[in-house]
Amino acid sequence: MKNLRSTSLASNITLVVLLASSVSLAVFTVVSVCLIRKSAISQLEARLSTLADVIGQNSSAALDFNDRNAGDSVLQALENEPHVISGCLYNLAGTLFAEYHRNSGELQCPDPLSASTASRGALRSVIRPALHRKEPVGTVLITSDMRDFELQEQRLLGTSFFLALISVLVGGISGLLLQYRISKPITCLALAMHKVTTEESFDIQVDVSGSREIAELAVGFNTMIGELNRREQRARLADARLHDQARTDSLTGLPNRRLFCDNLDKALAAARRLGRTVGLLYIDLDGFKLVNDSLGHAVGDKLLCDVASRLGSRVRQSDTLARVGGDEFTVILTSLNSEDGAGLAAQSLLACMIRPFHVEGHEINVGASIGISCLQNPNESGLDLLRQADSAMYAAKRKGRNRAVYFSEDLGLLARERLTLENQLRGAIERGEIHVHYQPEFDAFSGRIVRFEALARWKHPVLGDVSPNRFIPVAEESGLIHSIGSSSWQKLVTKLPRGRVCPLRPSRLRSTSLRSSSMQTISFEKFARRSRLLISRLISSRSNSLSQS
Amino acid sequence: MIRGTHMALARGSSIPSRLFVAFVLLLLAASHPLLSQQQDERAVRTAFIYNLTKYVDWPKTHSTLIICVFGPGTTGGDLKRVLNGKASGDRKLQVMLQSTEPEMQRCNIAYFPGLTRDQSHSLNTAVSRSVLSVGEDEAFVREGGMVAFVRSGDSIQIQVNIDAVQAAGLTISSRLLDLAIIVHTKRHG
Repeated sequence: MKNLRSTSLASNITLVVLLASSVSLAVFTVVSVCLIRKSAISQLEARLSTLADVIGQNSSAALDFNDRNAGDSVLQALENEPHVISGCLYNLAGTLFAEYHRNSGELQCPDPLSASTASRGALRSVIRPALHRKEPVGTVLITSDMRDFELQEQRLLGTSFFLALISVLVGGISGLLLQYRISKPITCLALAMHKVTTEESFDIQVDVSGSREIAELAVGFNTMIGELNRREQRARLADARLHDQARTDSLTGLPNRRLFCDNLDKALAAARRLGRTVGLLYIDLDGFKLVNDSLGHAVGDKLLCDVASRLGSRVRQSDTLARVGGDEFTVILTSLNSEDGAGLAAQSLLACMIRPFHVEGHEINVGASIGISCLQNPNESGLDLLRQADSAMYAAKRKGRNRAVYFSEDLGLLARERLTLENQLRGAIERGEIHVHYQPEFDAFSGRIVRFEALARWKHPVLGDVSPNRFIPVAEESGLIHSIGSSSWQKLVTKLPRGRVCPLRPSRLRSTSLRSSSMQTISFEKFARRSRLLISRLISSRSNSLSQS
Repeated sequence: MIRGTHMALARGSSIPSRLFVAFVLLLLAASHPLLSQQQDERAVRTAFIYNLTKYVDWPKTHSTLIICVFGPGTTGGDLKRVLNGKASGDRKLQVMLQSTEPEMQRCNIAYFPGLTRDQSHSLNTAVSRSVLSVGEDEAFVREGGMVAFVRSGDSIQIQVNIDAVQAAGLTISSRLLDLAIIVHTKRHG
């Protein structure tokens, strides 16, 4: 509101009113004064002429019979005309016959009468013939002083300007009142809008008053603000819902990974400030996948809910239990005095998982593998802590499940090595470094080979043979086992050893089986379908080659 | 009071009037002191009689205004010379010298340069015939004359017998009356 330009509505209205009244008054005053002056002068001249005519008529006998005293007495009548200062009477010959002066010594009558006795300055003269029965008997010269008249005129002008000033003042005041009536509600509206913008509050209503247009504006504003308020509330509600949805797990109602990360950062900041430590438990359910696959997702989901509530009953109010993945939970243990606290908490959680769960009539036993990491180094981030707990959890899984394992530097190394191995393995699959080795199985009674076991082997160009014990778990964890299985199967069916070792006949190729954790990554049906396709292709190609031979 | 100095007695617009005024002025200016005083007075009287015609209304309107001069005197000659045939307003002036009483009924103005006893009857006739009688002394108006131009020092006074004027049914302008001394008729016996 403070940066309003100088040409506001208010000042415009006042200015227009003042200007209009000033101009009209000035024009009116000037015109009327001019008219009054003109009319007064002509009136005065007419009066002087009449006066001269009367004087002429009255002094005709005095002129005719040469009676100067009578002429003087006739002129004496001019005393009653205050603005006449002198009167002169001339006979026909133009000689001064009688004269009258209001003040002695002031303006002598010219003798003889001359044509130069014109009006000069403030003096105005009239020369008229003195007539008797329409016949001239002499001349009358009357001189009038206009100074009084001009004084009167000035007084009139002064009064007019004074009145004009008062009128302009009245106009200005009415202009101010008018602009107040018009601009006040508008200013109120503008203030209300400003308030809405600065305070972001829609809880404002303006007073509906003033003229019809202004009132309509106010009603419109109020309606608009009301609508905005409703929309704002709706938007806030939706926003809050979205916010909650974005930060909680819809199944269990626990915080999701996002909120978990936020809380972890907060907990770490608090721990650094207070000189305490933060423990992080990474919990992965053992055998959950089996439940999900065998009993269905509905049971799996219910089991997850039960697990969540059971775990939740064992953590402190200040700790954060979150679900960060399918069957993965995390617990942030805040304000720990030592790392032992984390271990105790993990043990407590493991203990609560021993009792079986009852879901829809099924008794389900699931264990948990827990990785524990604690804030050792103040520079460590939440992500570091999470990675460490994750590694520790895998270590727990490897160690036989249903246990808790602290993260250690070795695990860190192991994890890094696994990462390197995983990257190399990815390249190895692409470069075809994974070979298939066949291991025959003999019938102990007949001594005949009954089947072959195809085994994937990795021959690294630098490291040489890499033990399956090293790369198979990495492949299984990273999902690369599927690629390995798939490429091995390709090799198996296309480059099957023939002839000498095993005169394989189509009729003898009864069955194939795959024993691999890759079952976990591709569905059984899909695998079976692909296998059938490959085998039928193989059989047809073999029969063709046999018939040709 | 009317001083017997130069007088203007003519219509300003007509050339003959101007010539007349010039003549009178010339006459007055060029006179011999003694002679001129008498001539002066005669000229003034002539001018006064002429001006008088402008301030008097007769009961009947005439196109010719006849001035009859009764008795002897030099003024009559001046009158005849100056005024005969001259216009006063829309009337023409005619001067008749040596008039007698029986001729009175033709006259509008009867001028008596010097009053005699015999003339008092004529004055009454003038009243009865609505003739303006004009004389030269105070006794004239007292005896029943209407207007007299009386010499008083070096000026000429106008005296009016208002009774006689009214009796004759004549009207004299109030402007003239303002200048005049009003006289009433002396009651005989």
